Amino acid sequence: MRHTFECEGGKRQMGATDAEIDSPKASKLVSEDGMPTMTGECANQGNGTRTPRAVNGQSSSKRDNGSPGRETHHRRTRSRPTLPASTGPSPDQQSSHEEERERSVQEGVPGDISPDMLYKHLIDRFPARNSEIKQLLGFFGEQTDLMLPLFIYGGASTGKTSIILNALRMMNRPFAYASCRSSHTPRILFESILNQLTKHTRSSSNNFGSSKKCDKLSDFLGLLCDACHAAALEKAGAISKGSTCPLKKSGTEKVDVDKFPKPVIYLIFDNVDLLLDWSGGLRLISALMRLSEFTGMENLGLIFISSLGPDAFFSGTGMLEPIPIYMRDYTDDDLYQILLKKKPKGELYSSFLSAVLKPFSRVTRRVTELSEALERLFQKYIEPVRRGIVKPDEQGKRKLFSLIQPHITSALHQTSSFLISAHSPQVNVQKRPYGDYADLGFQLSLCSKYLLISAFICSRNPATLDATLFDSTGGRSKKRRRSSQTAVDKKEMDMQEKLLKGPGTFPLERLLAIFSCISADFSDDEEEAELALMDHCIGVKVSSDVLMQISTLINANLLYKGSSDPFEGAPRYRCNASEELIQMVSRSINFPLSRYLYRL
Amino acid sequence: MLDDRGMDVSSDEEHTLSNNGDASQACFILHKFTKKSSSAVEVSPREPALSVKRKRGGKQDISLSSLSPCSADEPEDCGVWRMEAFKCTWADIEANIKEVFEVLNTRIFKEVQKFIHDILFYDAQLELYLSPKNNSYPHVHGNERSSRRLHVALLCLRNIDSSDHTMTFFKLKTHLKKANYHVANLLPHNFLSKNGVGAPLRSMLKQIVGINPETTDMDILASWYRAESDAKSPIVIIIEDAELCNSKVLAEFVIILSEWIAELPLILVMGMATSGEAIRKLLPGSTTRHLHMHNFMFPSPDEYLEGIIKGVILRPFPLFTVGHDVLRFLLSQYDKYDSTVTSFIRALKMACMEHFMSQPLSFLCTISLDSPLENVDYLWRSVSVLPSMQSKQYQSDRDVDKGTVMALSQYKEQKEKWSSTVNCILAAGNLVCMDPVKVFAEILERQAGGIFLNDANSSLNSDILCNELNGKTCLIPALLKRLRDSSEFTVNKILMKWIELTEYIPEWKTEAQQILNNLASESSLINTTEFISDGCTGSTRTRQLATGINSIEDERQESIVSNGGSSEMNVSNLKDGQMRIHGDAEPLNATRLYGTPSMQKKIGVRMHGRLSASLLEQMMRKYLIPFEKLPLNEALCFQNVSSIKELLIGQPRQGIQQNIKCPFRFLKCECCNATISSSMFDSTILFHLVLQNGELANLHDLYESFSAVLRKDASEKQKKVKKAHHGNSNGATQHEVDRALVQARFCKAASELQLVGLLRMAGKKRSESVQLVL
Amino acid sequence: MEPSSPSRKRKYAVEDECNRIGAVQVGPGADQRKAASLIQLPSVESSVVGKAICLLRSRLCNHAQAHILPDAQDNKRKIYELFSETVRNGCNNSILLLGPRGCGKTMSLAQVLNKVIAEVQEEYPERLCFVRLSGLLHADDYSALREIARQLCIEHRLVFSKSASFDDNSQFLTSMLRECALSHKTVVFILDDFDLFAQMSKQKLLYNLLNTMQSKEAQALVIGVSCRLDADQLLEKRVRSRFSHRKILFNPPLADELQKILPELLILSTDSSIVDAKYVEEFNCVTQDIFKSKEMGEILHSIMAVDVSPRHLLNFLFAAVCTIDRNIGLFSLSNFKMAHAILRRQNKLESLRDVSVLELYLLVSMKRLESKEREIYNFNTIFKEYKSLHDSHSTCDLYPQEVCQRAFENLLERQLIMFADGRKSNIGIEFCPVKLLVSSYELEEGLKSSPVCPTILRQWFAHEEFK
Repeated sequence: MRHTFECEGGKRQMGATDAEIDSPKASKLVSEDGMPTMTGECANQGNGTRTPRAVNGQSSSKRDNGSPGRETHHRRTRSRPTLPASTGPSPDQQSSHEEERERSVQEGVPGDISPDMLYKHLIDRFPARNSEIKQLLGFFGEQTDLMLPLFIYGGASTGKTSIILNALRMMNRPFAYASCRSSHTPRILFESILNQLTKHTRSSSNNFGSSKKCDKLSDFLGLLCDACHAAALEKAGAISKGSTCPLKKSGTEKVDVDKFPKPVIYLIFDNVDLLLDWSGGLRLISALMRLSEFTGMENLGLIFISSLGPDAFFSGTGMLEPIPIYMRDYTDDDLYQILLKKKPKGELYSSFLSAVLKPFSRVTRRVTELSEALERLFQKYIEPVRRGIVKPDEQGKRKLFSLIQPHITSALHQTSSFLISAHSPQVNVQKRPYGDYADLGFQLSLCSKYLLISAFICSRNPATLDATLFDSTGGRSKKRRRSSQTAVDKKEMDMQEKLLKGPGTFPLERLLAIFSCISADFSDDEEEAELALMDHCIGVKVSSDVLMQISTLINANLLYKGSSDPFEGAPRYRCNASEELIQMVSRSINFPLSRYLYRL
Repeated sequence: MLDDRGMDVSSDEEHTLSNNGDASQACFILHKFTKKSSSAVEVSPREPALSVKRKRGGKQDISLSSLSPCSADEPEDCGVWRMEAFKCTWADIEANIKEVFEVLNTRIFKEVQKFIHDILFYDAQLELYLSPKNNSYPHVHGNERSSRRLHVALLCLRNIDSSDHTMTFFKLKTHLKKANYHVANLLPHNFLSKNGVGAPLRSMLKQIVGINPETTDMDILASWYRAESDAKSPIVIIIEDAELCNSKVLAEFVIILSEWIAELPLILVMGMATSGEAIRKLLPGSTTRHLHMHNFMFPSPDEYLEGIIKGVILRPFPLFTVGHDVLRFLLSQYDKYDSTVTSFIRALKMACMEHFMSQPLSFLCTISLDSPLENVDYLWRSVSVLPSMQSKQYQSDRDVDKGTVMALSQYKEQKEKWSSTVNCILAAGNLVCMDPVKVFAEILERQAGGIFLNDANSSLNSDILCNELNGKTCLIPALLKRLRDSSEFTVNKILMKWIELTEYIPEWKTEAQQILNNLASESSLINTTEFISDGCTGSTRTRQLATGINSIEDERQESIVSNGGSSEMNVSNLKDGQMRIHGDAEPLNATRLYGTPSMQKKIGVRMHGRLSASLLEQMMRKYLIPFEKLPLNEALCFQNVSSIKELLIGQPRQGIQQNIKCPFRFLKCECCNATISSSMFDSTILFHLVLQNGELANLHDLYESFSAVLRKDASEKQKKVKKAHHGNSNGATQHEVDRALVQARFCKAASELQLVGLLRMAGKKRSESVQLVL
Repeated sequence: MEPSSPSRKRKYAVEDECNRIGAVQVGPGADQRKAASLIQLPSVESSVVGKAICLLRSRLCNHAQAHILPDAQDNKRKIYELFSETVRNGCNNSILLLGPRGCGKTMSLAQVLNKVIAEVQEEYPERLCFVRLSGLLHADDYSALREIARQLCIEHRLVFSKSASFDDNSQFLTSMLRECALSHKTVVFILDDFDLFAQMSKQKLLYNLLNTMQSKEAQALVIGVSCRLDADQLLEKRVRSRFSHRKILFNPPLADELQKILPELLILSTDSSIVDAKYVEEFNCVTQDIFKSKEMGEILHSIMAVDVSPRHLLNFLFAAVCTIDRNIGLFSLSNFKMAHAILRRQNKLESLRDVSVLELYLLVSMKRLESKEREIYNFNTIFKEYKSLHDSHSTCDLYPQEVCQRAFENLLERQLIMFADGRKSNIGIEFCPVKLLVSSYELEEGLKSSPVCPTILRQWFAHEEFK
């Protein structure tokens, strides 16, 4: 398992796939020409075409005078990446051998990866990315080609990470991958990279710790040097094994390792845009950019993947600009290809897409959002076919289209609204249609309903209006009508502004005052509450229960309480509940909300 | 007075969540949630009811195994009996409560587990469907990776107050662990903004991997899971009360998880207090893009409450009963203020406590009288003075004894009848879909008004069938009406239910059985085309029934319309109605009554509806007797609403103000009434001064007047004596009060008032003055 | 290299071509180039090409970019004099090397150092020791002091304890300085990214260094290297007073010099390890021709117009090298064109080109709001405006609020708009005031370039503009 450093490095379980990559070679070699001594040679020829001559010094002369038979064989194994250290296939290789073969059958990806094959393979895996992939492969170059830092950016789900990782993996390049999201502190970032380079395995024996403790950048540099040297040495050692004939393979690798140009080791930093939020993140980025300069190792290939463009990073800061590569979003045709590729069952879906894709792509061009929105619609689309009403031929498709037509707009309007699929038990569904929470979705006590409503009133109305709305003397309504009328006429405009600006804040006292007002109101609306008023106080006195309800509302995010330092005194509150919710609540206790709301 | 709140306060100071400072500044009040969070780190293994028990019951457990005597001459072991009586009664009640919760919750748990299982299955299929080499990398395939979403189960508690569910998530965890899933349980205080996303990750790793990791790297989890090769069981992460979490941290956490779903079978479970839609507000769209939500509904508090009513209050066994007024009060409390079952249970417990503390004879609830008791004489004496036993005169202790035993058995029987009746009503209401809790509340109300009693002196509007009670439309008439014209099927079901519910009331059982049989035979017979031929078979009787009931109904209708519907008339109608029904009258004009089979069928069905309705009504009249009417009710039934009321309704601010304003109320002291003197507590003095100052008071002036008060009295020697026996002698006894001490006392008093919430600083701009909160 | 090989190679070339035709769509010039490669160059061994490219790349990638930079002779001389003065009459000195990034500060410093070390070592051995710090790595005092201590330890073959505390290290530093001073040994501190040190809190490190230099008991030379020309202005007063205001300015190379220099970078030297001399000269002359050609001149001109810093040019050349078609192994003009295209990024326009129609609508309505002097607006306002647009003319693009809000969030993610005053976590996103990060001109360009933009939207935009 060399050359894929993340294999036990923990980032993801590499074992199987790693084996998938080598085992064909091992097995092929054994199968092609039985004797193990051959393996060394043909591999060396394999390397010969890709790595510079210095790599396989003296054996190169022997390569050229090959017999035709050898030649064909040579071509077959041309430019194959390096050999497994042990030619005898290890058990896991054998295990993954069959599936490896069938994979190569079904995808037509032979174990041999010439640049062009690689290019083809990547393209048919990532449609509509030809130019980017071509550029990338150019930049990667060959195993020992040095590289300037790359900066790959583009919108979400445009296949930035996937393409890079796939390419590197298929080229068997040594690399370490770290996503700044999962590793959310510098220390985790550094350590995960070091772990991958040194193939450190977390286990219960080392208490799932990482190989080295390093949380400072300056420490990281030192450790990185060692790790990379080890890695490069191993890689080069593998090369040398390939080139040196079995006899002198014995101990002298270190000597001739220095002769070889070091293979490039790629460090991939994903989601670097998150670094901007870290403290001193910008400095960290610019240090990472110059990593090879600091460590003095030229064979570091630095790749940065970000969802933000370089302007966010390099404008103004005097840091070295890497080479930008932009992954553009997909056009409609690309989307068509991709979505079609994701669906195995062909032409119905394609006709469906050609029918509905355009309007959807006007809303969003994210593959993920589109695919699920369309998936929902597609189920409707093929429903008649499933039930055998329509058969999928030409006029059948036309019919289907006419059938789906009405649904399109509704589906459009649910686009990119995330899906909540209800799993609630039948008991709850069919039982108890009565009760306010049937529409509210949850239960509120009477008191907290009043609190919520009064909070909403507080947030909606300007505080100056309270006096006109709730003066507890009788004949309130008429007076309110008039005054609020004039008020509306006076300041309609800025009121609208205020509404758009969102709910206002208010002190606790105002909330309680209005609360007691409206609950008292309610009580002389209906005499049952009068009784309630008699025996225990709703609204008259502010009992601890009411305050408890306030805190409950706050915890349910229906009310928001601003922070307050003890000397600032009163904290400010805000009503976060949406108007629909409040309407429902007031309906459930038939409270005349509109009388108090100061509408336009 | 508010002692259990008091306790909460004390237990509450140390843990106040950052987002849960709440109203506790504006006035001294705490939220139930902190009760949970107060129980330290990962999980809070405490049943709400239990916690209450520990608070209140625990006091007595340690203090004494007997209750304080409630009358002077009460012998010691009565206290012991009452204690034991309380213990066994409450133990019983609590067990039932637990069971109710158990039943209601496990349903949800099962669903969640099933859901998780299905998801895993689905994912496995997905991976089969994708090409085999992609599933080992999270990052290989752009499309597949992004189409794989993190599955989130939203558990909606359906009550903004989550205190009913302090235990639920812990139970869920254990339940899932049984299915050997790997479960981690995260609390909102893991998601504070100041700790960042490290904290939840760390605690998750702690719980699942079981180590204390040095870095919070998901890689640890991954490698652990890889090592855990044997069982590929899912990793479930439960977040309690997602609304309380800091949304930023939560979002980051969720995204980090969703980066790993391709490799780890991660499933997130979020407890949402309100509804699944709230997540939209909580998390930004960029995060919800990674999620696939599934909604789960917990039973609403009403369902819990219904369960408790049926399982606890309507259970005949513990002879201890809660009076109607008390129950009504509790229900209205539940309805008006926090609609949490927890507080209902706690109130119930308080009632229980109160009863056994105050009632000398309360041990009769559980005691068995056949066993010989010592100091029986006291017992009989106190029994015979009970007003409810006054009615019959006892000559000797023997028949007092008899009378008591009789009364007990009668009480027991009555309670059985009552509870089964109410059960029947609720069952009927359930089938014609009415809210059981509301129905129950109304039953209580009517019962308290003594409306079901069929004695003559009940007022006019107090008939069962009047649709107006205290101005609000009431359900029971509606229920009867629906019952009357409900379909044959429903009637059938209702009767079945009744039959199984009424093992205590045999006659009702038989009645119901009869109607049921008739219904069956009728329906079978209607189908047969020729029916005139057999004039006097089973069907005739039912026809009689029909006619009888019809006539009764009609009479009653008009009697009510002409509001001559006085109950005894009704009763008489009912009586002879019954008589006519039971007595075999000759088949009169049956054919005229029923023209065609179809019509007859209709009428027959309606008739059965009417029959059962009238039966129900009759039962109500007969068995819904308020317990206050029964002998020995003082000992067995807790009716003291006022005491429970003052236990439950707290007005801390008023209370504190009263106490501060006039300390001489509780210090037996004659010197200081209303006039400010230094012999009062410092806080009292300060409060008075602030009151004089009005809304805004300048601190310095306050301080001046404060020290002036102290000095003035310090100069006068002769008050010393009176001062001495006040609690605080420190400042008053010495002759000249030095400034430092005065300042110290002033600051102390001010801070006390501020802590209590009566004072507060007026604000940054006017920092020199304080403001009075009223 | 025996005769059979060329034919074989041609066979390869052919089949490679076939592969490529299948997959790649090649640039316009590609075809005749292909033909050329088949006819003129029968014998380019792909390994040789690989070797050549590898050489070029490593040349472009290594960090002492001696070849591209103008050798600033007089600057070097100044530095050299400074050194010699410092060393000979062991006095303390401090100097700043200022100049934009990548115009040879570090390089010439390194060259001088080599020279100086060589001379000094033979003249009086053991008279110099160097401490190198970088503002990026050792930003905080702790790690800086630790690094200094480490290097000093290495220099004097002492054992360095990782666990040494801040105070230990500072004491160690002062004592070391004293020791060095006694043994007439000059400690040279080279502070890379000097400005970052100056931006540290209270500039403690600088102050300590310069302060010890005031006393006689230290003999040190502090060289600050910074790409900020105002680096010395960043210093606090107390530090600046202790700093000798000696500055050496480095100027970026002039355009025409670069014009001359650039081709050299891409010339393969004949004595390199590439055996195929024929290929080498072929390669070189092709490269020369390209650089002589007119449109290449234009490309270079536009490149330098953007940014004349050598790093930028290196990026350009590197990109060009990377786009060489390995089956031909020669430069062509299209390579440079492509490289130019790669480097010339305007990501505002790119992302504008990528946004969906709905998002464009939102952007335009924001722009309209701005032109109405509504300086503060949030999503609700925007949505209102958007609706009003649709009320005036009915289009198929009226979507409900939720969808629009999602699009709005997408815009936020693309950083085409941002929150005016930080995101308040407690209030709904639709209430937070936002501001537009796209200039009106850019938006106009974006609308023009966007493949999906409906005409009516353009009209609205224009209408608003001209009103």
